Amino acid sequence: MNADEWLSKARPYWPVVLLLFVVLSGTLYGIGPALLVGSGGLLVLALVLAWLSLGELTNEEPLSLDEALEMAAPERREQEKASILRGLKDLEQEHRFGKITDAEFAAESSRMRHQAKRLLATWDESAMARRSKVEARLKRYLKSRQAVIRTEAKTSGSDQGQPS
Amino acid sequence: MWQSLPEFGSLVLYAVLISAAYTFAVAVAASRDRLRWLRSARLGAYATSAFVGLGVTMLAYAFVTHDFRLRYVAHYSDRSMSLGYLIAALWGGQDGSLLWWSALLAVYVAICVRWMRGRYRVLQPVVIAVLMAIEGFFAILMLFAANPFQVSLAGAPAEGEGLNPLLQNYWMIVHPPALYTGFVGCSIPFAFAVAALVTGRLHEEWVLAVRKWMLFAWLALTIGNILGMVWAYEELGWGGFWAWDPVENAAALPWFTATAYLHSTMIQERRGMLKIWNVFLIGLTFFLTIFGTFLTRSGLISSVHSFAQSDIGVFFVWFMGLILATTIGLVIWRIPLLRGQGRIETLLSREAAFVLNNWALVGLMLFILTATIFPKLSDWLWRETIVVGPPFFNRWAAPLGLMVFLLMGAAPLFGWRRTSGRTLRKNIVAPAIAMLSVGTLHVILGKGLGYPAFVAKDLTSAGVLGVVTQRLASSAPLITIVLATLNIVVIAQEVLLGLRARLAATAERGAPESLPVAFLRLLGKNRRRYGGYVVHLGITAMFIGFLGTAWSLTREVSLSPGQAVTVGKFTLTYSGPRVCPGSLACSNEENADTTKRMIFADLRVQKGGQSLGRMSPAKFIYNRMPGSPTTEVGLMRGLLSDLYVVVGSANPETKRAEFQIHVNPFVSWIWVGVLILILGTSVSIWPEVSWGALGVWVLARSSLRLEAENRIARGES
Repeated sequence: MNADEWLSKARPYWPVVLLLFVVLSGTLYGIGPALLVGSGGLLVLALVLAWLSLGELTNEEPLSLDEALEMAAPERREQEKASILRGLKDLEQEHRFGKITDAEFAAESSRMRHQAKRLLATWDESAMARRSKVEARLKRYLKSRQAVIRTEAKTSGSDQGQPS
Repeated sequence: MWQSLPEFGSLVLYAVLISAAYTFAVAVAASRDRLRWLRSARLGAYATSAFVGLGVTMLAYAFVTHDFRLRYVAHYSDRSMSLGYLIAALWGGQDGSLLWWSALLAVYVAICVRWMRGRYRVLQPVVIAVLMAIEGFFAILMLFAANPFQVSLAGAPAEGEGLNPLLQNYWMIVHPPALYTGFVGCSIPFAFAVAALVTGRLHEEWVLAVRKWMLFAWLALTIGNILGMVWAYEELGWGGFWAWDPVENAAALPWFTATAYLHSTMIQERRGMLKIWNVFLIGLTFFLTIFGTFLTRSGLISSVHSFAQSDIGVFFVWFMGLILATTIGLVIWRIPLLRGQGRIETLLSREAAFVLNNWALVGLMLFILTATIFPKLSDWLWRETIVVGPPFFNRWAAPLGLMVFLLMGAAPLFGWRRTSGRTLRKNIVAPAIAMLSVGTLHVILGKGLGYPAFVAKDLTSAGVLGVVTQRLASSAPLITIVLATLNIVVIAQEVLLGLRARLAATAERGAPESLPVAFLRLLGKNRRRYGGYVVHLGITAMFIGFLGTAWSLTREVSLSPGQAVTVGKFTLTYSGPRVCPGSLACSNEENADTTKRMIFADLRVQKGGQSLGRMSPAKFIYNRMPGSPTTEVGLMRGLLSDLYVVVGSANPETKRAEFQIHVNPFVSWIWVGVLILILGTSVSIWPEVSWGALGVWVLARSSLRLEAENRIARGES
């Protein structure tokens, strides 16, 4: 693991480490020094974060898999589906609790199920088009990773004087 | 001592402003689907939060090291103050409270940005931009009007002026942070609402995103307001907990609109209706939080709570104008997308009950708002300052409050869309019988027990309206008891219906459950619904607490040592005054406190011939502020009634003392109610994703990655 990766992996734990230092200095030297340690840590943290933020603006590399996953967002239709399913669950509950009659339940439930089916159908259609795109991208990604691994294996093999 | 702390503090505030402005710009640019820029904006938001955190720790450091070069530190602290009050002094005055607001927002920003990781990609840039705009506003305010790091022009005094004695109360350590947590928490829903309007993603996405944020802010607002009531009850010494003071009212205003939103959002989630109304409610709630701060800090209306005032009002006016213009402008722009997908089909539906409840809540808010600013309004309109007092508030707020209470009880009786007459009749039988029985028992037995169903009230205005309001006020005890019964029975009935349905369903599946297991699983599977009902139970308990004021007893007496007085069921015998420090009768702790002179008037309390102990109401005269003695209340709490004694004066020579004695029935139910409410909100807010489901997602993602790596290693494409 190189220094950049190490720093990136350690990033979520910085506040915890800072808090530990604050507690430790507070226990040993009192509240004043603890606040100073906290201030120092926050200053470093703020400057590093600001620096990283500026660095992102000038970074032109494509996003890595992790970064892309970090930015992933659910589809609007996925939310609509969740909303309809939640509505159906509520409706069934209202029916079980005796708030609506059997006839009302049957009519409303059928309407909502029809709506859900229509949504799923349009979703499947559009997903099929994107599925091939995703597969193509994944293939490209796997090929590039494969090439990198082969190169690394060759390099390490030649370094150790062994056939790759 | 650090020589450049004041300059460094101001520098940090500039850093906050620059960082917020930079992040705002990057976030706006990121809204054009630039993912790298979004990452940059996220990091910028974290950096801004860290800078604000740095500012707060620097000010806290100045307080604990008594750095009186800072005007703010010298004005609100002295060397005798304990650490708790030194930290509380951070928000004791205006400049610090603005920094405190900014710091709470920074915490919210950091948590919200972390929480948005991997979701709301389209809304996220605008959410960050709005939050940074708010953070920037507070940085501007501090830098150009209320800088907590400003030095005293006359140089550093040897000793500070100290915190106002009224604020040196443990409730004051927790009340402002709780209230501000609520106020500031409303920024997140507002940011999401603006993001939804800007991006046009006005489906349920943003509504679902803000639900828990709003619920949390609402809980904090409730706790903050209740802690303020506890403080007023214990510290101000007038026998009550709510005096309709402008600052108290301003703190309560966003609570009403937030409550309305928490109900109306369910209609949008289920029916796709009330989209404009929901955006409006979110905007209004955020506006009211800023308005509340403006009212407290600008000194627009005089208040017993205005501990710090200045001329920062103009900044707030501009900011409030910006909020209004932004919200209204965006709503008008997006009206075609905000049109509802359905309509209310009948009045016998839950949506209709919720809409009526919304109107009542917003009506109550508008009434309180208008009455609160009426002195200023009347001054503008008629050049005459007309102050509206508590009797006016009580006369009009009580009927509106009871209307909300009625709808709160009745709404669960209705189903979504429509409820057939037969179903409604079936559901209403038990609550109706219970209401009738309890109401009749109250009328018959109430007077004998000391809690009459009717308490005569004076006619406050002429005409039919005056008579109607007088009758309503006189029957308020009976109406409240009957409505409390409605609420309790409806909730019990809902739980029983749910239990019955679950027991039947599990038996049908061939896996029958025992009653306790079915009960727990029912609650676990429907946390939002049953959490909400628990909240309603808490509010019912609070209504009973408010009702207690109708039966309170007050007596003013002058007693010499050895004399006794009976108020209600309590007999109080005056033992004599005690001045501390300096008397043998004082405790070691009282004798050790040299910051003030304490004059106690001790009373022995008996109830039904049984001794309940000693009460020591007092007057405290602080050495630093001898002209402002504080009243220390003698308080004996009970579930049925509180005994509350205030000493007006105690003459150490003649030993005679003047007392104001209050017997306040059911006040403790308000505090019990808020505990129930916290429990219910926690149940509602608890994440719905089970650890099992979360584990499946983590496993699926890890497996996918592992499979990809294996295929690469095997050389497969």
